[in-house]
Amino acid sequence: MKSQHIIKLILVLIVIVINGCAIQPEPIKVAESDIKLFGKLKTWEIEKISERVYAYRYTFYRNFFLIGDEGVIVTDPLTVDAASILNKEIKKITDKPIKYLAYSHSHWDHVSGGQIFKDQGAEVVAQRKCKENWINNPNSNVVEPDTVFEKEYTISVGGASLEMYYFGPSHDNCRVVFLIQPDRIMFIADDANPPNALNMIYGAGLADTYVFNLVPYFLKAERLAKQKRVKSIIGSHMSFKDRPMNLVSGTIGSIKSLKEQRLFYQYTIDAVQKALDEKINPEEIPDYLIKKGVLKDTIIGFDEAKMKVLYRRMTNYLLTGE
Amino acid sequence: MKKNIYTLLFSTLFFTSISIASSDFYVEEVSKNLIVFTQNDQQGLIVINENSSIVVDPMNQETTKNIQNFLATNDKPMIGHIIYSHSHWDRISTGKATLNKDIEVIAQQECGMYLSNNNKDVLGPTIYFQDTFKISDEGKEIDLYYYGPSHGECMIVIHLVEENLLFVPDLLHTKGASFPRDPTLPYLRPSTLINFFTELEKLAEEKEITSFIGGHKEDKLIGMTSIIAEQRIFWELIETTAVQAGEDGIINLDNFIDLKKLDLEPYQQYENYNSEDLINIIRRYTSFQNMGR
Repeated sequence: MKSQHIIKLILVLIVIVINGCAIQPEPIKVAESDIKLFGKLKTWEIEKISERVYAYRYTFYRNFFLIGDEGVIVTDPLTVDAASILNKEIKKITDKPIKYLAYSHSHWDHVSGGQIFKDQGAEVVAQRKCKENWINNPNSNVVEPDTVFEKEYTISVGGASLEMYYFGPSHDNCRVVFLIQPDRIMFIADDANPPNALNMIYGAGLADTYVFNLVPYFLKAERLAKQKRVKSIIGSHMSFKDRPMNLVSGTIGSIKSLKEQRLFYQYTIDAVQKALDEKINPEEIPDYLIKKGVLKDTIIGFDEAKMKVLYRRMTNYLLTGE
Repeated sequence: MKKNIYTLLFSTLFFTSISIASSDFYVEEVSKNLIVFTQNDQQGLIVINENSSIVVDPMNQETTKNIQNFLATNDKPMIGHIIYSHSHWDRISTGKATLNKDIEVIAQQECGMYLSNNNKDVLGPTIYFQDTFKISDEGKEIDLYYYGPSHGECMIVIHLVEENLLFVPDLLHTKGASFPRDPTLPYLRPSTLINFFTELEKLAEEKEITSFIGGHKEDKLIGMTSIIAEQRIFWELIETTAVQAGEDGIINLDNFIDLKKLDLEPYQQYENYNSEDLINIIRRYTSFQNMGR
């Protein structure tokens, strides 16, 4: 009896350890461009993540595609050129039809070029507000969705499916959390790039970002990840190791990047709030925080000029709510 | 020229400082029933009717109390309506100021996203509207217009019909077309901004409105509506510059422009000109070119 308890305890511990320190998939490069972008980096590459999941990086952007028994799900075509390359490469991997094109959000730099998939009969899917954005400001390279959804939507191609969750405005007003099943891999465009999401962000002014909902958005995503036992996240951009231009692959990594991204925003908001509580003149908060070295050792690739802009953005948010 | 004379007359005949309620709060009378109040850097309006007053942007608890004191001291009716020009808390946090329970609070619908964001100092609107809203009270009219996201998601334009005057906070300056106060453009919505100005120009033309008041203290209280088109042209210039800079390859990997390669002359005519500010302003527009938002 006693030994049975010990075995059970060991099994529970093993499960906890496996869940906590999940072994990450090792991407295998299956195709790449002949042309270099700069340094050793090629213009594009395709990596196999699992039997069903592939990642496609084009310049500094990344999407993924899923191959099921009945067809293919493509995400974010990026540009006309990127989509054309992707289409050719998918045909080399599978002869299954492209059934769906799913958009992560409405920004043109991620969603242009989908016509090549639409022409093959792919059903185009996006959150409802994305469609509104494209109606208000059309782009001839962006194919409007056939199907829109409000909160949740799932598309399946037999043995592989893509779940989409909308948690309110965040970066853009219609960005969704992608969850790849059954692989339990997440993807949140423009944020949470592995290996570490406590990196200096690209656009410190947070253009088209709804700051008030950033932390709640990531908390909801974290809850979803926990509930669905998500172990990995694919980055939509390359992540920095220690310096902004020291690019590392970062294709897929631990789901901990999700929490790190939330903490990045939380830390910067909290730092500004503390300065406001100390009655520092709002105009002087960026310089004050830089001078004090706040977050200098926490944020990877800490860039003073960018941090000044970010602190200013967070000050504006805390004063106005927007 | 005719507009200039009109604005000058308007300014000299009607502006009278009529009461100072606290050291940094003061009011100016634009007409018998229209008062501009200023606290620190911010400006709002009081429209006085027979039985109640309408306040546009009460700012904060202290300002609201100052407004109430001013109304009581000068034997004016108390606040019956509050209009939010947009959702920014620094303009609408009445806090614990004691207000009539039946007060109507009016805001554009899109403000709801921010006003439901758990700020207990902001009174929740009792009326949300979509495109236009008319307040007719005791023979006086105030028309509210929404032209899409511009400065934030829900900023409106207020037409004071009796005075035939516009109130346009944050996007216009009475001195003339200007560089923005904050070059990081935290709230600017480039994809709908030009439409905002175009619609505003149409409104001014249709209603023959020649003057406006801004939302911040400036040397001149009243500006001419010809500035609307001039400000639109400024933003179009920024957009054109961002497109051209992309084509010319003078944007770096971080999306910042190389100022040394930019002809600054077209910008130097604008108020509040600062060449360094252009780096952040144009970055917002190169992002807009990339994202469509």
